[in-house]
Amino acid sequence: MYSVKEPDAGTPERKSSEQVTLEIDGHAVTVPAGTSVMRAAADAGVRVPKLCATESLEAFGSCRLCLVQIEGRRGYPASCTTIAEPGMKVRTQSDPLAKLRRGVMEMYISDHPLDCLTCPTNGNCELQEQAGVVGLREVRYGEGGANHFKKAEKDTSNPYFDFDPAKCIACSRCVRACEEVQGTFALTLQGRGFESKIASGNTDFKSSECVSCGACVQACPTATLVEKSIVERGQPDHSVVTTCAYCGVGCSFRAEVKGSEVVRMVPNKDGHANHGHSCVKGRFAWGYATHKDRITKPMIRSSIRDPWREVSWDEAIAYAASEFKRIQAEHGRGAVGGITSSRCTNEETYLVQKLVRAAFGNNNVDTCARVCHSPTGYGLKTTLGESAAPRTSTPSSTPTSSSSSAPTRRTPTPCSPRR
Amino acid sequence: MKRRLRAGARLIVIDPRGIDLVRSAHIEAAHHLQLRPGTNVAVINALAHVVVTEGLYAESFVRTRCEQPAFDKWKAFISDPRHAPEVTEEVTGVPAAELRAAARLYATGGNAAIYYGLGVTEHSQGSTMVMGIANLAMVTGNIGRPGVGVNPLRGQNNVQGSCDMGSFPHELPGYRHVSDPAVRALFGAAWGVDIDSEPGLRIPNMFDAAIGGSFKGLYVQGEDIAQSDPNTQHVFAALESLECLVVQDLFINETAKFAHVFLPGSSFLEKDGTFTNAERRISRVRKVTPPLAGKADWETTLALAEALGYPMHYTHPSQIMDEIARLTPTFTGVSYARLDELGSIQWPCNDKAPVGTPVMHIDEFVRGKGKFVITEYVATEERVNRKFPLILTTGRILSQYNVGAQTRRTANNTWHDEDRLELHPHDAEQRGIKDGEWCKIVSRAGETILRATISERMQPGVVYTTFHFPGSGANVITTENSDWATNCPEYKVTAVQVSPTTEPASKWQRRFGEFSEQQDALLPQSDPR
Repeated sequence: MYSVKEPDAGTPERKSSEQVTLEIDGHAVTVPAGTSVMRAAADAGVRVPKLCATESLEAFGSCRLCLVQIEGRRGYPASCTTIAEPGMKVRTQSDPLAKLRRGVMEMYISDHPLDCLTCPTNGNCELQEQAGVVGLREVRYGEGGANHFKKAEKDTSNPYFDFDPAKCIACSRCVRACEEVQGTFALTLQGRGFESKIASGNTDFKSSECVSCGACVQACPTATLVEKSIVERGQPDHSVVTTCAYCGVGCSFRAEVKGSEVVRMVPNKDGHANHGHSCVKGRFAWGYATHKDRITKPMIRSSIRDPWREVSWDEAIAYAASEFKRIQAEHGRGAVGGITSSRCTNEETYLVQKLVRAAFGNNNVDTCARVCHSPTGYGLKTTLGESAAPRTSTPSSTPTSSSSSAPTRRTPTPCSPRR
Repeated sequence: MKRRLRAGARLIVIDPRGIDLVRSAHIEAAHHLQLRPGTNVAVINALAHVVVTEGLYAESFVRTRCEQPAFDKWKAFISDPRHAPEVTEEVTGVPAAELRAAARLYATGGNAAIYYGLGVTEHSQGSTMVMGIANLAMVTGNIGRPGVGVNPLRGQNNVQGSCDMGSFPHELPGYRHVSDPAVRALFGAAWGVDIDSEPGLRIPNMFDAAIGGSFKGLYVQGEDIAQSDPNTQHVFAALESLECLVVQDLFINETAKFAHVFLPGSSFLEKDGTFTNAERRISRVRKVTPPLAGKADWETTLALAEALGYPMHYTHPSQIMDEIARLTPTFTGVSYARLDELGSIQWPCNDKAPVGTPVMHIDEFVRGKGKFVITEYVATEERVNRKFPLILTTGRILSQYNVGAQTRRTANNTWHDEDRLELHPHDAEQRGIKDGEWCKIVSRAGETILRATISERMQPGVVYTTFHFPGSGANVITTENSDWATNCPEYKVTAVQVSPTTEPASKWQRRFGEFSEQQDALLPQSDPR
């Protein structure tokens, strides 16, 4: 599920030099050519009910909830797969549409357990919300989750998310996210009709081809794929946009928080480096921040064979400073130095080198880039004049040469598409 | 990248191993040049040789954008038959026809971009290879517009930023050399001190000087040199020689076991600041939760500077960025307010580029004209022989992050809970090594014991391991060979021998285990570990 209350226009943004003006529920709206009626409606401030559509995936047209009426056209086309045309007059609300949507929703709910109050996505569930939107009042085909997956086992093998097939509405958003966003093709939709089932190959999630990027979990409109942290702690109350501390892609994330406790990290759809994509590290592997191994009190000792002694910040800092001063007095200004980290912020790194140059009075500062990319700095400065990547990693290139690196392993989300 | 490939882009993979990108769902590389580790420069030269001698180069681009005399010299150099793929094949192991086809594709297939990682840099000729890549991009005109270029993939969040910020011993922020009096005057005036004109010690020099007795005190922020640097036994000896080692970190990492002062660090969730990604993109890090230990890392450095008699006056990291912007021409337009407004900024950001610079080198290179550099292939001194017949190359895996201090403390261990030695079935069979069993890896620097994984991703003669677990001792076996220009360690080429063993630990691994237990016991009892 996407971050709490993030707007979702339903289908991806289109760019075009050509603009199209149409009318939706009486509001005129102008959109780039190629835009769906659903997205045009969102631009006009009109929300069309939807379940299988989300702006991070290409339109699929399977849920039949986003049906609309278009003047001069027969039937009820799906607004997600219908492209806006000049002069179109679209109606998103009418008695026949309300009836159709309610009927569709009734069928979904006939195959979905009604345990909303104890469901992990309670309060942030698209199915729940859309049932409210279409005004579902009864389910004539049986209710209470009397569906064929009721006894289906949850797959809890993945350490970060659960798969509960009983909650699945077969919208294929997870399958499409795995293909379109991540490109791993680990998921598939098996069977037809009531037999439809999402499968991670012939095995559980953990043993499958799945790389745990979390794109499927993010795309799921129900509690079928849900983070274990949400199951355990409930829904977040606010979010903070920040940047992942793992690899050099620098993905933008929304840290979703409850009080002062992080309950989920969700890739930011507006992130310039990742456009809503993530990998297993940034998305899920943030628990180290509160791991019991964290040392939270300053400590000192005079020899590495001595036990550590917990002291106040002031004492630890004073001790360190007096030792550095003593060493410089005894062995000269150049006998001390500092090492900055590529995992710390620019500001922290700047301060450490400033401390070395201004307080130690020498240039004995180096960084871990010494052991990874120092040749890049030297080589590019010599040939091109700048020690940095020449361009944005949003390729519009035809052939790509990847040289002696395993980018899918270490920096898994480079090169999000240009939008 | 995968999305572009599915949309029809073609891919050339140059890697000693059969990595996922060579063939995975709906993706297949057009060419996989499976070279022998250590022969990068021979391969890049052969590619350039084909481009030049077959007349596939971008003549007008070179004429208008690059230094002509340097190009002429380079052209004569690269056209020499010794760089022909038919000649280099014997050294590199890459079939000449495959290499020629790849060169033609890169030069004539439309926009072409090069992405590379540490398989390029961590060699004795790392810098030469980077220049070889730049030569190839320039000669084909694949630089300075969207969709092309030379793209180093950075393994850590702020490699770009830490380099930008003057972390190297010879450069002040913005890559300006300490020997330049104007630069020293600028920073000296701003900081109220005289700046030393002599470049300082690089990390390996610090280690040598520590063992030699002239270097005694070190302040290490958020970095685990004991695990990540090559030739572990040498590093341990250096750290043991220090009189005052101050470590600022989240955990008692391997380096902290040698420390005298431990200053608790804050995680990225606990502080305000910025990271700069591989595209020079500066993004905000925003405080999500309060620092567990009461101080964010920048506050700790501030306190230490003050105690050293050099007070710095900042009350928020945004003021540090303002100072960086004042002193660094490529950052002039950067501020927290601007970052909030734009979302992120790619430097240079200044009056000439008020919203940043997504693509550099568009009309001219930063240095003016691009410079072709002669890149002669020189084989590494690390050679295989009868005693050490295999080449070990090290790398990383998706679920773990570098030394693993963070990811080893998460459920990511589900996918990778130990470092293993990957080797080709042929090499395994020859030595009687079975999948999942212990094997001993011996190099000129040391030895260690790991479980074996037999895999056809490897080519015969080449073995591979990751270095995410300190007890694996991957860097006990790597040597002190390094890049000629920058001392970047040659992690990617170590001559080794591998043999089956029933012992689960080498002498070093046993000593390391004991030392770690001792150090654990020295931690305060109140800290439940």
